[in-house]
Amino acid sequence: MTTEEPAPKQSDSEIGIKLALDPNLITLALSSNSNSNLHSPASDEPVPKSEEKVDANAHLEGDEVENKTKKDNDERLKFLKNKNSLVSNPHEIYGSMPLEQLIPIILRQRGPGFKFVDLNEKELQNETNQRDDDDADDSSNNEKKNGNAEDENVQVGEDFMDVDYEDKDDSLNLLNEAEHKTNENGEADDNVETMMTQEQFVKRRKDMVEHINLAMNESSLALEFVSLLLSSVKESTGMSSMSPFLRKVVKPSSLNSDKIPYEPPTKEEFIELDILNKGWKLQSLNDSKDLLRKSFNKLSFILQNEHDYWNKIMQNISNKDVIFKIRDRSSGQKLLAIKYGYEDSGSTYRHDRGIANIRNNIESQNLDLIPHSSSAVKSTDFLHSVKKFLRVRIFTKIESEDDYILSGESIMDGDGDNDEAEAKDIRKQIQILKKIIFEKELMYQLKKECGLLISYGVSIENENKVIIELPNEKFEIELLTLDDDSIVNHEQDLPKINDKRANLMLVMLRLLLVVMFKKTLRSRVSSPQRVTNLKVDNDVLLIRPILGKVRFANYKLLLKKIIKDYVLDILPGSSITETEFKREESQGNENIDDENITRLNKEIRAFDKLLTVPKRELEINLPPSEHKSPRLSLILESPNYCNALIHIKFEDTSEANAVAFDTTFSDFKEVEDFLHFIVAEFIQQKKI
Amino acid sequence: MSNQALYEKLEQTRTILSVKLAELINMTTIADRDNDDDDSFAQENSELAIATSSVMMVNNQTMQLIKNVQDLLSLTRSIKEKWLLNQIPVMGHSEEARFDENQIEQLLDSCIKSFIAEETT
Repeated sequence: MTTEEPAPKQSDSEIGIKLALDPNLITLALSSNSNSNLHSPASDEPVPKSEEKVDANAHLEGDEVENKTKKDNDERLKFLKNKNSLVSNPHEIYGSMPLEQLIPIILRQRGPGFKFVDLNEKELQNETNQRDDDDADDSSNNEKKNGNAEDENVQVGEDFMDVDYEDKDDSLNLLNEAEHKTNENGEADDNVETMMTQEQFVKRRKDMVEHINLAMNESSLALEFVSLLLSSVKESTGMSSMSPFLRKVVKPSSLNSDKIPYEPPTKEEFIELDILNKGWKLQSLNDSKDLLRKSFNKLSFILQNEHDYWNKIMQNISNKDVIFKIRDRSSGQKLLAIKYGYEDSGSTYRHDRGIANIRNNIESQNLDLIPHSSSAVKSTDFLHSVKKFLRVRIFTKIESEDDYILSGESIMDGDGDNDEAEAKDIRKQIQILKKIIFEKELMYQLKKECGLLISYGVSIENENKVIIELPNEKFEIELLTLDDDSIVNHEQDLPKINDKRANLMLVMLRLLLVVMFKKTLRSRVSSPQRVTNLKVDNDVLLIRPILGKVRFANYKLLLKKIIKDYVLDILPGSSITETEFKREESQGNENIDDENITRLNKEIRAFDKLLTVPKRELEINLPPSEHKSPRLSLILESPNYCNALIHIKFEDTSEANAVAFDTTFSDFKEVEDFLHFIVAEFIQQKKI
Repeated sequence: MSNQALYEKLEQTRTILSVKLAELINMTTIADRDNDDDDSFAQENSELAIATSSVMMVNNQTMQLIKNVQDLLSLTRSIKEKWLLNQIPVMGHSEEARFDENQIEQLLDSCIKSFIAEETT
């Protein structure tokens, strides 16, 4: 034993263990050292066995009985894998093997009929000695044993063997080398996987499941497609593999396919297409042409209209007109409008702003003016129906009958007869509109002034009629429409005696309104604040200057009569000299150095004759005497146009007791009395 | 619209007009294209393609042409409005003192006289 011992130990460390009963190990051993392999097993085996028994027992005690079989398998697996990865220390494996595994291996090695109880130290020693003796036989014996062991192993663990055989085949098969590698990698991954965290594992599994699902979807889709395609040929076959959903939704045999060979167009087809192309294009070109021509005609028509319109505007509208853009209230159309009212010239009339739309009338090739106040009425009708003018009529009183007869009538403006021409010419239309608005304003201002003059016999009879009553005649100022009955029926009347006066009165009224405009304009230009409303007292001067003139003439007559009765008739040889007071020269705002204002002033001054308050001096030339004759003079004036103030001045400086009177009367009776007194007391007395 | 805007609009419209006209003419070409091979010819000249391009030619290009001419028209209109509505500089007053004050006075005098005299006699 002692001499032998070292030998097995050597083999233990080097090759002894390679005598393991596992056929895999045999293959390994064959590749390296067959001799040593054959020698050692017999001598080695007992040593590990005896050692292992204790170890295994200890292991068994520690291990749980439930997991025993499972662990066995695991270890076998491990062992085989280790072998594959060339971790070749079988001794360790046998050493770490549990007894239950080791014993069957030994039993198998010993062959059938061998009992583990029979195995003892003496027998084993005999065996080793015996082996040492017949060395030559050993190798063949060993091979046989190995073959037996191999068979047994195959029977026991087929699963593991498969892998090994595959490996062997793979190593031979060069074509499958790549697969083999991946296999190995996969196995290596598996090894890594064991070290994976739970999450990583779950994730990978999820990915895999997804991929599988995807693949399944794809394949089922493909199947559906094919089934559907197939159902057109063999319906039953197709239907059988179709999913219920598809069967429900899609009609079977609704999909078909056919293979159409591509045929390049033949020469004829080519030409035909070409002709078709050309035909289409020609036809489209024709359509295009028609479209263009149509719109050309339309546009040139519009252009012509535009051209006419602007030409007419150019002809008819000068830079003195006020033109602006406006939106038509009814149609929402954008239009040009013209302002014909006098607002910018000083008018303060607000009831009609004097704005008219300029509309192009295509039918009549004319511009139409549509005044804003009555956009609903058609323009020409409007002009006719709303055409208003002022008429002044003079009635003379018949003394005997206490009644008035018509003695004069202002004539209508002469342009009423050529209505057609008027309607065509926008300038004329504007003129008429201007005239209308002017007359309307005149009436409006007249009525305003009337309020002040009730005490002087001025009254408003109705909306459009003002009456001025004088002792022996009556003036009627009336705003009439063109088709008023009184005009239509009396067109052919004979001219009357006072026609001229009526016309003059109308002219004067108009002139006075113009002066009013000019005054407002002047105040607008010269003063910063804008005058919007005229004060009736000072600014509206229409009836008063005219009425004042008439009344003043009457006062003068009366006064002369009084003078004649009380002075001239008593004092023979006396006479009256009448002198007119010169009007005061221009007032304060003359010094404003503005071209426009000076011009306005000048223009206003030109009408002063109408506006000045009448004032007359009547100097009575007393008959010459030896003494220096006293001086008697009367001044008649109407400060507010309609009343009468009489200043009487008497001076007698011839004697020591000089007498002088300077008194003012507003009553003619008092004037009578006073004159009588002066003549009687100071003139006649002196003569006597 | 300012002058600048008017100019720009004019320029734009002019460009579009010429481009559209060129496209229209381009579409009307019926000459064979020699360099094209048969396949592309067949593709380009399928009946559908021909009809589409032709309809495009008629509707799209022509209408745009017309629309732009209309634009030009409205442009001229706005220019005219600008001309009309702008402030026209004052040329200086027409001849000073178109009336003779004395004459007016005489006329007014005789007017008043005749008006009153008739009444008073």
